[in-house]
Amino acid sequence: MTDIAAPTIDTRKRLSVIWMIPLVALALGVWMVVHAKLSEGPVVEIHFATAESIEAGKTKVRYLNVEVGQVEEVRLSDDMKGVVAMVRVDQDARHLLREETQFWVVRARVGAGNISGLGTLLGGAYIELSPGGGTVEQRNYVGLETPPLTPAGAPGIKLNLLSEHAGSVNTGDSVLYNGYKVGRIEGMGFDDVLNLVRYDVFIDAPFDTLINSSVRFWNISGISVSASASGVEVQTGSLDTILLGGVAFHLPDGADIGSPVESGADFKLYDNFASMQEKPYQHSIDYVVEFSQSLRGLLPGAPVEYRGIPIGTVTRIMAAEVIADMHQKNGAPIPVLITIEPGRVGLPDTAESVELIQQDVADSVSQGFRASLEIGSLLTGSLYINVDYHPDAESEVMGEYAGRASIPSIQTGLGRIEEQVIEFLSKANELPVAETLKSVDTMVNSLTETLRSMDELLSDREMQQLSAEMMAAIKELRSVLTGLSPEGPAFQSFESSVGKLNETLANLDELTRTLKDQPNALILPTKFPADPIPGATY
Amino acid sequence: MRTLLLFLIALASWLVSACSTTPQTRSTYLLRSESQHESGPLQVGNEYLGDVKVASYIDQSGLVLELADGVVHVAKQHHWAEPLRTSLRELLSVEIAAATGRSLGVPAKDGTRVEVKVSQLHGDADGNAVLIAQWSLSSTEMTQAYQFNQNLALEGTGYAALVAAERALLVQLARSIAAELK
Repeated sequence: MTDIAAPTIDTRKRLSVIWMIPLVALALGVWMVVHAKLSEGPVVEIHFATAESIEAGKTKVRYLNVEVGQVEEVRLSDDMKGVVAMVRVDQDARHLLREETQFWVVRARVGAGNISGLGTLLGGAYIELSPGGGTVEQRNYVGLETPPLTPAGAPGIKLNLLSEHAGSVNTGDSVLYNGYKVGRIEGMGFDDVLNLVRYDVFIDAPFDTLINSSVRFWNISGISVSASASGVEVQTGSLDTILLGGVAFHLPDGADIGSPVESGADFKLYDNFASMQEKPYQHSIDYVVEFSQSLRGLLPGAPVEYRGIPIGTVTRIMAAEVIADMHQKNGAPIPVLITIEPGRVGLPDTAESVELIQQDVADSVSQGFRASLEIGSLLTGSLYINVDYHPDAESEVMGEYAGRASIPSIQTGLGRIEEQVIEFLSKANELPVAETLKSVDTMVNSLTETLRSMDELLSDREMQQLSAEMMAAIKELRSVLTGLSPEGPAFQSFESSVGKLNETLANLDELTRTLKDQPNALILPTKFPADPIPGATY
Repeated sequence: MRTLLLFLIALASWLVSACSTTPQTRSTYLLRSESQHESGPLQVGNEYLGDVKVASYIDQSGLVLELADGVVHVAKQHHWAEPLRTSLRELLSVEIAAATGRSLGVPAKDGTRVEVKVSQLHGDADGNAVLIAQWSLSSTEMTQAYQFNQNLALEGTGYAALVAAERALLVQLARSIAAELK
């Protein structure tokens, strides 16, 4: 008989396979949540001045016109002085969120120089992203109120221009080199530390290599008209710089190329080309020239010339020093501070050249080297200072004024003319003008009376007849004189008569000699000895 | 009365005999150029003849002979046909024109003035004709003076030979002047 094994009863409870379904669903849910979290981009805070054109859940963030994020929330900043836009940036664009990354709102803008963002009138405003060049991720940004003129990371060099006044240079204006646009003004502000207007300038590559420590920037906005001792000068830039303003840079004449500069270097912004050209040299020497004549028309910057060659400029008229000394010397000459730069005459721009000039000037004063005021422009009345040799000048030596060497002055040209005019006027003033005018008046009256009498005389009929008779007499006299001329018959007859008279006189002379030899020759036959025969023996 | 009549007859006879005396012959000489010119127009030059002066001792009608040094004789029977100044001027004008090929012009400010002064013109005891003259050329720019001193032996004897020799000397003088004018 077969034994039937007793059944083994497993009393353990087992989890039903059916439960796998919710577990899988749970796992999927978890995975989806994690994936969603992992794939979600970061949220960045962007601070703007206003929320104009920015709407939560609607305003997109774009880079190169590709949507890379969206504004999720807009709220006021903690200090209530601006707004904060919470922007969700796509995960695949998070690498754009670096240092120097810039955000600005693209909306329709109408400015003096351009019109932009017209496309947003229909599609709505958006936030433009410009990735920076840094490597560290950043989540807080300050949005730009205006689009940057230069993309972040663009090759080139950033510079600062410092000016004493804002002038007509504005953000967006061009920076020109030899008339060609090589950069732009990116921004402007007032530096309250330096108390100067600061312009942010960007020079595009490869023109940034033109920048060195010797270049100078000047304002070329509008039309610059200046009147100086050199005459009237008009400076203009291109048409857009005339209308919109701009800046140019160049090496001053005679200046050597300087050393390279780092990004962010400061440069002075000169008012015009002429002021940019002033003092391009590093080495110079100051002299004082004292003038006793009027300095009207002599301005700082006026040239100092030696026989027409510019060798320096007038730095300033030392009026303050004169006023300080006025209680000591009434009517003292007015000192003028001039600067002579050896580099202007082709000498090396070195301290040795300065010493050479100093020595030359010191030696030349004893030989008549003097400074004089000359008229630079009759139109403007501008003056300049000329230095030259005047051998006839009184002997003088180098002086000193306020710690500076002083070159003696001499009056020539304008001053001398002025003196002569004054002298002439003084003499003219001494003339007995009143008596002379009285005599002239009497003479004129007499002359008038004479002319009136002559007029009456000439208008008299008898006088007119007399005149006709005189004309006839003159005509006859002319006829007579014509007959007496060498070509006339009377003259020829006269000449013939004179000839005959001479002949008669010769005969008479011969008769006289004959009678002297033989007094009875008139009644007795005359027998002279025969004349000797030429060629025969006498 | 009879005595007076005889005196008158004698006087008349003497006078008639005087008139019957043969007068001495008198020769006159014309000093003229002998250059031959062709007929036709003559170019007028820029030069003109100014003063022609002659020394006083020859400025008379008789020809002059120098018998010894400083001793001159003025011929009584041999005379110039016209004043010597006139003859000299005429002869020099013609001969200068012949030598230069152009006629002397009239005085002008920018012209060249020719002046001649004849110091001696006579025959000497050696049978030569003598001519010594000074002449000059003057213009606005400059004045140049020249001297002419030549003797020429007479070809024969007599005053005609003397006149011929003096004419030849004057022609030489004219050619000297013309050479400087060219």
